[in-house]
Amino acid sequence: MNRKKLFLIFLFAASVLLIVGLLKGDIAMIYNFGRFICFDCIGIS
Amino acid sequence: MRRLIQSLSAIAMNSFVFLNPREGVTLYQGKLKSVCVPILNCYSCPLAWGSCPIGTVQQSLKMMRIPYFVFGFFAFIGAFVGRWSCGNICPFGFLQEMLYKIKTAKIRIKRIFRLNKYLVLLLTLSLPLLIHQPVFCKFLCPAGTIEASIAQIAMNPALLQSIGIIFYLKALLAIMFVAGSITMKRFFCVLFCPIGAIYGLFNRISLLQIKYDEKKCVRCGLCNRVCPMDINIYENQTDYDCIRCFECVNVCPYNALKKSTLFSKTATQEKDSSPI
Repeated sequence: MNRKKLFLIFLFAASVLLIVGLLKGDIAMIYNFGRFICFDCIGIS
Repeated sequence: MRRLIQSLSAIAMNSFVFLNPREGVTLYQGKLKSVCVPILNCYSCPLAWGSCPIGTVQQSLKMMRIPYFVFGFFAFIGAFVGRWSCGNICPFGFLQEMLYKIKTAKIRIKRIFRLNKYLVLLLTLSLPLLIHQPVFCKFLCPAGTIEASIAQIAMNPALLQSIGIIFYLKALLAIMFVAGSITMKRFFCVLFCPIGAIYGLFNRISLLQIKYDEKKCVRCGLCNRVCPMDINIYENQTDYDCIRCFECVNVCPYNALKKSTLFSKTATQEKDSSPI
C-alpha cells in the first residue's frame, strides 16, 4: 500500500486511540502511576 | 545543535529537585505527571516532571487494562517523526552517546542481533498480562536503576533496608549497560529499547524522512561512520534503527542525503519534473 495512505491511516488510528484513552480516563491512570515511587522500577519490591 | 537540544531536553524533563529544593521532597507529584514523555525516562526519578510511557504501559497491562491513550501517543509520535525522539530528545540515548566517546576498543553489533529489541517489546507487552508483573521495569530497565534507584536511595537511606536480590540484579545490569555503551554505539537503543522498537516500525511511513540521491552518492561511507546507530543510510533510508538525528545529512559532502517529508518529491520525481 502507498506509504502516504498508510501514514494517514495510522494518524487516524492514533487519533482514535487517543480519544478512546481520554474518554476511558487514561490521563488519571497515568497520573496515578506517575505520582508515586514505582518500587518495581527502582528494584525494591 | 543536536547536542544542545539533547542537553536542554534532558534538563527540561529532569529538573524537578533542582527547581524545588525543599527538604524531604523525593518525587514530583503535580499535574505534569499526567503527561507521558515520548522517550524512556523513569518517573520514579526525583528529577522527573513527566511519566514514562513504557512504565505506564507495563503497570496498566499488569492490571489487565489496555492503555489506549499511550498506544495512541506512540502511534501519533511515530507517524509524525518516527524515531526522531530517540535521536534528539532522549536523555538516555544522549547518555549512551556520551559514554561511547570514551576512547577504548569498539565493537559493531551484527544486524541480526538488532531484532532482539522486538523480542524485548513482545515480552514487555505480553508478560505483564500473563504474570502480572512489570517485567521490563522490574528486571531490565537500566534507566530505572541509574535515574531513580541510586537517587531515591541517596535521598531516603531507609530504603536501603528493603533492597534485595532484584536490586543487585538491576545494578549488575546497569553496570553491563554502561560497559556496553562505552564499547558499542547506543548499546541499549539498538538491542533492548522497546520504545525505540515501536517508533522504528513507523520509520517507513512517518512524515519525517531522509531523501537519498543515488546519482550524487559515491559510497564513501562517511555517513555510516558518523551514524550513532551504525547503519548504512544509503542502503535503506527508512531503516527501523534510523533515529533521524541527521548526522549523515550534515556530514555528506556531496549532498546525497537531505531532510525530507513523506509528501515531498523524491530525487527521481524532481528530475522528471525539471524543465529540459
